Amino acid sequence: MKKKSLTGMAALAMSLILTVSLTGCGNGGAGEESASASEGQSQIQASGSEKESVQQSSSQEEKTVITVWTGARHDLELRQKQIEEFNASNDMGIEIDYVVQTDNLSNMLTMAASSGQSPDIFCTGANDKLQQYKDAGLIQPLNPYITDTERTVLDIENNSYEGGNVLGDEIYFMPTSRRSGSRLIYNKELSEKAGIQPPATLDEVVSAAKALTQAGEGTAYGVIFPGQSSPFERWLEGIAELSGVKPYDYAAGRYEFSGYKPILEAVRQMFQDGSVFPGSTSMKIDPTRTQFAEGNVGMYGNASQEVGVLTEQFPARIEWGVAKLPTIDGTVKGCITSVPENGWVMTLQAKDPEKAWEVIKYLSSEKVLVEYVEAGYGLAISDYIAEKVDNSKIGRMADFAETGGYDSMYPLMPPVSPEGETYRDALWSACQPDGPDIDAIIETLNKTYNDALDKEIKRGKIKRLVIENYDPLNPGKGTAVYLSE
Amino acid sequence: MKKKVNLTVWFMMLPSLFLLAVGSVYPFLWIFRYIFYDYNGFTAYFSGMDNVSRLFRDAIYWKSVGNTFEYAAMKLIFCIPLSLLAAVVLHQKLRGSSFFRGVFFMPTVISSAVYSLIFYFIFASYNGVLNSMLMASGITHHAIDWLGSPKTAMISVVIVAVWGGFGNYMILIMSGLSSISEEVYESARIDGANGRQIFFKITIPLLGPVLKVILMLAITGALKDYQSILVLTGGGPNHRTQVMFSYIYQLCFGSDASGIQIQLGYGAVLSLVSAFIIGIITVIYLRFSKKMDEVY
Amino acid sequence: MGREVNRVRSKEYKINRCVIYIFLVGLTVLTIYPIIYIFFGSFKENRELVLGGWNILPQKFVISNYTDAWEMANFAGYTFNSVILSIGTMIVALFVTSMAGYCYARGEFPCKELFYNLMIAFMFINVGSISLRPLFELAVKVHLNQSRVTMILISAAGSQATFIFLVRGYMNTTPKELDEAAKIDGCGFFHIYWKIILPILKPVLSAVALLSFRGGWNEYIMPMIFTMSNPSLRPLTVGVVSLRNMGDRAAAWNIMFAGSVISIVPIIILYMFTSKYFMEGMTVGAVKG
Repeated sequence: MKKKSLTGMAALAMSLILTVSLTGCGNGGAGEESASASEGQSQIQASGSEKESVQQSSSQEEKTVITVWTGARHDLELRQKQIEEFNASNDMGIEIDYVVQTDNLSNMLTMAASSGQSPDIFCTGANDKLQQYKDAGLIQPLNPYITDTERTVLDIENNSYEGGNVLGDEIYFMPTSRRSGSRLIYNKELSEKAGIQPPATLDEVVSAAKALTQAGEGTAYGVIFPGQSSPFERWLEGIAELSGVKPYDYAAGRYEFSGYKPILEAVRQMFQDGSVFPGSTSMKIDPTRTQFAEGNVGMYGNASQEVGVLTEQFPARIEWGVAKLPTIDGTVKGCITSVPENGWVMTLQAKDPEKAWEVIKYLSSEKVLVEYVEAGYGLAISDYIAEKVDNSKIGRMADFAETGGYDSMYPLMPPVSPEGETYRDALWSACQPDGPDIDAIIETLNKTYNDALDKEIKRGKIKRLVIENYDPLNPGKGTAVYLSE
Repeated sequence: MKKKVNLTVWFMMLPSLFLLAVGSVYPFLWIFRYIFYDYNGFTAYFSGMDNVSRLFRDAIYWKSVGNTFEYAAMKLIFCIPLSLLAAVVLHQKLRGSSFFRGVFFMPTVISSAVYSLIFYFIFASYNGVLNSMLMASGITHHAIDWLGSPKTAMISVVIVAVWGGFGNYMILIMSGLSSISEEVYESARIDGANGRQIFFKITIPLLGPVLKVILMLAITGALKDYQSILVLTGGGPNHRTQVMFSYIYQLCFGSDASGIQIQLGYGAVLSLVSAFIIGIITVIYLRFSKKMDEVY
Repeated sequence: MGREVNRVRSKEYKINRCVIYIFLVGLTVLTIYPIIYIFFGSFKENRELVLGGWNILPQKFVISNYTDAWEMANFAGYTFNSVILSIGTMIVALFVTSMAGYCYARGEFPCKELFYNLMIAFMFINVGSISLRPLFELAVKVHLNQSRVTMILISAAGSQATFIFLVRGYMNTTPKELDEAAKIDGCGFFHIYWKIILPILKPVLSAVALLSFRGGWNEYIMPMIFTMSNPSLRPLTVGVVSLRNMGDRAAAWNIMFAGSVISIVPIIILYMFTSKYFMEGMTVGAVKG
């Protein structure tokens, strides 16, 4: 009897040991973590933590750590430098902890928000999730903080996009740079050999692709698409926009996809002609870029981020040019989306809003913005910044800065979750020669998107957006009306 | 007296039961909450039976169920015989067999996210390694778009799965083999049985119970694969390689690229239905293998 | 007659050997080719690597991929985290599954069948990645969302069923007389486990050790979510894949490959050291459940 109870004790002790060793392990881990952080172990954290411990030991004053999340890694080097400067020089006791998220940021935000783990600030571009963020109590407007300095430097008046960074009168973030609209990027040498100019109409695209493929003699092909990295939006959607075609009919407040038909047919034709680079359907964006840089591709389309890629990351071995995207029939009927980026959003959970604003103010300041544009990471957000930038430093970015007056931003479409495919996936599969019937796809999309729109409006999740006096050439100008039916 | 023993057992079971409850049962129950909601991760909107009725209309999901079966069947058809063969061959004490064993096991320790990237380059249609080899040896004359063509995408994904998985099953089968006593083989050899006869008349029947379990692990494992598919094809082209769990992943985690909104409620429904489907397959298989036992 | 059989057999034997080696070498080439591709790819320039193609050898060896991965991408820290995560998972798995496997095999307690079947059922019913969301929210509630312990426990929870299955199977093959004798000598249930069963379980536990270490080492989505507000805890897998996400610009595939090699090497070394025990363990215990 006694023995048995001893055994019971032993088992209890065993469980205890297990628990203790686990927690011990956890504590050890935590200790480790701060120790390694103080060794400046995490470059990603922008030596923020490094400074933290150094300064904490030198001055006794309490530091306020402001956590900033971003999804971008490409500009990390410059950001780190800027943040280090801020951490070293600010006299408000603010310490920026700059965290690069590895997966898509909005997904991380949903999880953080639902459990009260949000950062103080996060970085975003114009985003159709803004309303969701607001409804979930994740974000707060910046109106009380914005001063005339920001209004001038960032030209807020012309950079307010309904549903993108602004909801009604409330400004949730101020974009600090922009990406250009999509452009046609073409291989000059191959074009010369084929004797063609950058195409201006869809028919010309098809024939140019054919001619380029012929001139390529089996090693180079007319066009390329990154079939696995958003193939549709890189330039096909841009062609549509420039031709006045959008998925959403802003005047009627409904989704309408029939305008895409000629584009789908043209791409299908290029596939059938053999003018599309082999393997395109399964390619990711980077292999398509290297193939172009090697001279194996006649033309493709993308926005201003290609400059850094084609000059630094995969330096092109051919002469390349940048041209305006073609349109369906050669006439421009709409603007092309130029995404305002790098807006800093303050969350509702920000521990110290005043200090969080100081960080946003710094990250939106003239000095930071000019550095950013000069490093070639984006285009100037305002004329004010554009004037301050040393244009000799931006290199080929200048080709993309040329807008022809068509770069703009559309009001955000109501973000619906249709049953079935998203329109980009569906339209891309309709582009492929063995894909589904084009008319059937368009009909399906019209149905699924509008059904979802009606249903979600009824549910109170979204509102129907109707723009009075809508003009695709001036998409920001009409009067936005939100309907609950 | 008896009670005290029970107490000890309970204490020893406690950690495992805790992990079971928290790690498996709790998330499973959690999912039930959102069946009737349209949940974007932030806010849940009541949607009644929408998620359930959508299930029956969702052609992509049912296509993905079919693809899952096709994928699992193809993976097993290639994987099991190959690992069986390798195991039987290596079980004979050959020179270098531990080297080969190590090599064949190696892919299983590499994370599927990493090796899928390599295969992505190997399968590349333009200048890809596989195509270059096939063309150099004159088997084909034009490049095959392995991952991009609906005709070959599934087989390509399966090849990767077999590469990454056969070592695992080989090891499991070898462990079964070593439980067959040497004497059985000896007496068979004395009776003049040749290699093929030994394999079919002795090895396979004696391996039966072990193979049964391995097959069960392999079937359920194959039905749950999705990581390497996400990296290789993202479910494409045109959902040709979309399997149940890759589709669910896209619904639950969204993707900025194609603008899929997070739909946790519907993802929860699909998760449950998929778990149910796998459960049915397992039960059918168990019934079937019991029948097989009775026959023997 | 015996001699004749021998002669026939030796000829047959030689052909057989030949066929067998051709098969093995062929399979080896197919298996090892992608691994060699990763290895040499990790020395290529990004441009050359992404271009793909025949050439397995780099035009020139770029060592800086490794130094960059190690320093710039903080792989030293990631490696440390991975080691902690895998060793932790291994230790938890060893304790939990050896005790539970022993209890399922030898213990008597109410609902034993129910628990066992429930556990086996969850081995097959897997709701996939969606289960991470409730787990994360739960961890936040108990303020353990930034702790390594949580990640270790979740990783161990995910694989415990298979391991208990293995341990229980192994236990069933060991003679009951052993612990019955001990029982008669007056040893308690736990005492028998500690003194007699654990040493017997050594082979199967070495298998559990390797498999659970491998499991912890290769965890990806779970630690990615749990380290989102504390990147200094990220393991290698998350670090490697994060290099793919370069925003607008091209990904640093070369550094990612170097990172992959860094992440593969330790696990292969571990396999080489433990494979003997591991094989024994699998051999006897494995699949007899």
